[in-house]
Amino acid sequence: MVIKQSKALPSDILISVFANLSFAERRLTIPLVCKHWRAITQGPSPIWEDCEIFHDSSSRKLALDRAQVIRWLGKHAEAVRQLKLCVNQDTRPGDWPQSVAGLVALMSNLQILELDAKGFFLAAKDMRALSCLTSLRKMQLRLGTSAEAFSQPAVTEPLRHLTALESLAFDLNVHSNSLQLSEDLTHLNLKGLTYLELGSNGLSQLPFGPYLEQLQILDITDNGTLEDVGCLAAATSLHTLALGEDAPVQRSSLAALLPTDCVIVDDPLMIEDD
Amino acid sequence: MAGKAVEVKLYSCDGEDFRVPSTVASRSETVKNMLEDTGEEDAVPLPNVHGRTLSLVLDFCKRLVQYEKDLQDITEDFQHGQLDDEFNAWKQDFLDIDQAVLYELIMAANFLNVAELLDLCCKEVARLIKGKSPEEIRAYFHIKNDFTPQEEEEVRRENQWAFE
Repeated sequence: MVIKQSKALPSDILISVFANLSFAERRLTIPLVCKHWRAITQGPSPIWEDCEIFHDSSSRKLALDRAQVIRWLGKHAEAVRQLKLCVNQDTRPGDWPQSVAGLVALMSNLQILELDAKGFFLAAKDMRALSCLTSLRKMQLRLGTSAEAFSQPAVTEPLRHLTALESLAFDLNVHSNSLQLSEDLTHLNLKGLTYLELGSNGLSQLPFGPYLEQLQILDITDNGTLEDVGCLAAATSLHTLALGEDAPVQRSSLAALLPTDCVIVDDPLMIEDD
Repeated sequence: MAGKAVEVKLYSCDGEDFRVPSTVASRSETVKNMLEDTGEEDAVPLPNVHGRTLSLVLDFCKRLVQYEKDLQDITEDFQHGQLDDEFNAWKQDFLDIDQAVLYELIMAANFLNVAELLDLCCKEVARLIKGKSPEEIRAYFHIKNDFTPQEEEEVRRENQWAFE
């Protein structure tokens, strides 16, 4: 007994099936199978809610061309709820930031944004493009950065407009001179923020700010951030503090500042996927 | 749930009847709604589902109910992972079925509205698609290529992202 064309799976089931495939397969393979499958991939289809894009120029198979990705994303922006963009370091990343920032700004329904691209940095104007993402619940930025980027004012200022944000992970790969980030976090007044992960940001202390109060999980890779631990006392809702491996933090002094049921762990936490 | 297990009767389209605890039958939203409408004494006819498929769906629902019960009973965190592993291994055996049966199962899970089963089956079909070329997918699922050569060329051009 075989599945004949007349016994094809209905569209809504195929949509659920395709949701389990990689972005590249949904984009490159599925439309070529038959007219029915192609029709499902057209326009702002629900199969594009979750876009996980790996741009890796060294891989021959199903590699995605940058210009094509950008053109395609532009057309389907509205459907996208979750965008994970991972750019291989060896490619020429120079053109990505502006295009990405511009595109992301079109994604009015975006809830989850992950950019993983050590080779590029977002300048202040690129960041500003992100400030319209008022539905964004989770943002993870792992970017390279440059002295130039940080000499511009308010790189992270637009963060404060992301009022739906619950989870923020920030690794700008800087090791010094990140006064601006400190300043911006201090002014952060995101009522829903419960998860904060700070990578290498060159902070010498955790910035004070109203955001601390409702924070439940804090992950600090760079223990330099806790040279001055004083402001942790404001984190009265904290239940998990994750520390990096390398640093000389006095646990006993930390424990005294934290809520009694807060645990301190060594493993860097992963943000859970929804 | 508490104590007594009420049995309900389900009829498949080919006249087979199944007696299962109502907790198991109610994993199907469709059956659950029907039971709420008609009461648990009346037999529930399922004109869209064959006996052999219904039997598989009910096997899944039984195992799912068991799994959820076991989860409630555990006392240690590590047991959670153990139960997951056991259930996953069971699912793998369960899905050792031919394609036609998988197709019937998906349609039944959809009609009976058993979300967990539908999700499992969709993942399985995705697993079968993964890594195959369009030609291989057509051959595997017996899908007819209904593109004209020109149309196919056009779609290929649209999708010509990187087959360098």
